[in-house]
Amino acid sequence: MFIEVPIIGTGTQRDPYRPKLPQGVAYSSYIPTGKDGHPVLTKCLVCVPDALPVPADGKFFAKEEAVLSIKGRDASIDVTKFKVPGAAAVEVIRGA
Amino acid sequence: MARNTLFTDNTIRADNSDLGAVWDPYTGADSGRIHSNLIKPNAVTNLAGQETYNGTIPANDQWASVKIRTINPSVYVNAGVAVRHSAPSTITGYLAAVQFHDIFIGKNIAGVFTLLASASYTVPANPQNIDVSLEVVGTGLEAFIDLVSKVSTTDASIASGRTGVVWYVDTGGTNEDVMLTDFAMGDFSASSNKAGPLSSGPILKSLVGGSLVS
Repeated sequence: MFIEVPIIGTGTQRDPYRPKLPQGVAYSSYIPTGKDGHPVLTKCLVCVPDALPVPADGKFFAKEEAVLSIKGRDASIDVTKFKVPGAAAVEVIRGA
Repeated sequence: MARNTLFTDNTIRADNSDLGAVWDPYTGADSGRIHSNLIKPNAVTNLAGQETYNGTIPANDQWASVKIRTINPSVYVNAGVAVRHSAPSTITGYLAAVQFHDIFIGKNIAGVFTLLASASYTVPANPQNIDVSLEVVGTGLEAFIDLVSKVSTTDASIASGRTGVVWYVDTGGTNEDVMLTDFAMGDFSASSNKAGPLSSGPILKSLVGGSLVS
């Protein structure tokens, strides 16, 4: 499933920017960053196994809604694949 | 898909504090050495270590692999490969690395580190002899262990660059906690490229069909 969660971390090796998820959860995320390397958004879209409960500060998306959310944020985004074990893959491409 | 190999380094050569003329260290990062025919960190400084191959720069769709002979899971250690890395000294590029509980894909942009994807993986007993590889095709990134796909993601930050090796040894570790060998890198033959984003998938088909594209 696809969820939106906050981005945490400071960008260092021991505290990298990453999705706020329970430790040990397999995930695949989309985190756009600027030229300085820092995320341009405070939240990110993450694909996680369907069995994972949606975190309290997370937001569930259906597949189509997730795609629309990505496209709505940045028309230049070219999202090709999110895939982790136990979750369905999705492939999209920008329409702009 | 088949990989087209452009360069290999079996690391079989005399001990040296330098990996060799075809390898470049990075300012602000640990460098590697050759010891007992293996790549090992030169120092343990709580810095990420990396070196990139400065010979043939592969096409933008590229891959790199390395065999992890040893990775000590008793301290925070990771090791793996880099693709689309900048030349020294700016640390910018994608990497895939194994650590105690997982394999991850990340990116460095001007030295700022972001984790993009992770999948659980338990490091086997020493010596591990794990083959870790990372493929990047277009904006797709896919990490493998022993040529089995483990995790994939997408990112559009970095379009081209070098391949290389990466590692990290945290406080309490030693420069014997990461040992690498058998580096290889290359690109893909035209007939074996990944199909890319226009291949298939219900949402893509929906997009192509016009139902989601304004």
